[in-house]
Amino acid sequence: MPGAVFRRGDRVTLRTVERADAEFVQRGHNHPAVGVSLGLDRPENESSAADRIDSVEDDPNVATFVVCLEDGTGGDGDSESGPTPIGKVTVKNLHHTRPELSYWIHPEYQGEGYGTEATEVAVDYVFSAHEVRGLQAQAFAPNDGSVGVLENLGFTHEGTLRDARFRDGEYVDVVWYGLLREEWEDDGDDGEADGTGGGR
Amino acid sequence: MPGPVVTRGERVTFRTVEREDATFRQRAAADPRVRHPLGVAQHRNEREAEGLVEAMDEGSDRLAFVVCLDDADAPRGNPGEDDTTPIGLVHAYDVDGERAHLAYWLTPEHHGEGYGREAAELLVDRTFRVTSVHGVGAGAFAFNEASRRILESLGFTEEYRHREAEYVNGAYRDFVQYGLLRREWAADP
Repeated sequence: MPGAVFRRGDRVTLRTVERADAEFVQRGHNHPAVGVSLGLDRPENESSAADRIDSVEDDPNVATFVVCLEDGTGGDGDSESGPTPIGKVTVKNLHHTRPELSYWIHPEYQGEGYGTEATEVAVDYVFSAHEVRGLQAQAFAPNDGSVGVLENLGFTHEGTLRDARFRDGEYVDVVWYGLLREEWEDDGDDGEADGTGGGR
Repeated sequence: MPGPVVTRGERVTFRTVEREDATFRQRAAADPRVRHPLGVAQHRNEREAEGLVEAMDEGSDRLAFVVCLDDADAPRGNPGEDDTTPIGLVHAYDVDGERAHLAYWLTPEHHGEGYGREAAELLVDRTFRVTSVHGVGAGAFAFNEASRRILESLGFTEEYRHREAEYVNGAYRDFVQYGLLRREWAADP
């Protein structure tokens, strides 16, 4: 069960990651469509998912969120179960000039624009709360969904590492994207003030 | 002093990095001509530098060497004070993965003699020879033309340019990343 709401979009919320979310995080990380695209190359049990949540708690340079739908069903149709966790957004190296953004949405909920919306709320949070110059993100080249999120948000393709990782039986390229603060602020109606995003 | 010779090029030798090399590492890396191109904001005191040898130079996921100019009669084993001159450090990190990351620096008084290119070439050769990595990567700030020229002359391809990646010496600087695949190295001996 995710923790308190930290930021809100039109349809999704970003909630704090709690130890009780280990089961949800583990389910995502072990799903081939998620784990392979994140570069995770071995199974993760619930205990190691919980340990990871613990180690992030101790790192002041990481901000991580569970992306939720506030449908009050907890994802299992039980109306008493609260929000439904659908994915995760993480920003690491907040002390760097350009921290790194990563995200995943559980395959059941992909294709609805939730990834773009959640990531947009996270980018707004980073630029409004942290004195950073920009943000960066990487993805494996065949990952159209992930690259689509970055392009929707105005990130620039800064280059491609050729044959850089081995996944799914072959060497694949890693694409790198970057977004500078003024490119975010100049880009229309993304009110940093309300942090609600949407409308792109 | 550096330890025994591991491999040698035409003019330089690669010797093991010993804990006693902390002083050399510290003195050179405090020099802005070395520190700025590496993007290192802080200089280190000698005690911090001792910890750096363990943190940066030791570990099964990396190769680390002191680049040396040996006297004609320098032993292959542990040299004496007068047998060899350490002129820089080279590293290959992440050699247990798909792609190793190379890094190198020379003391400023030995710049401009082609030692950097020779050391980088020897490092690429060593990395492909003793590890099974698919490729190697290396990066430099855009302003660091000497380092970029070395990579380009060795056949590396420019792969990305992170705009305003770090704040170094009074300004945000672009960082350029290069890559070289094993098949490209084999094709270009």
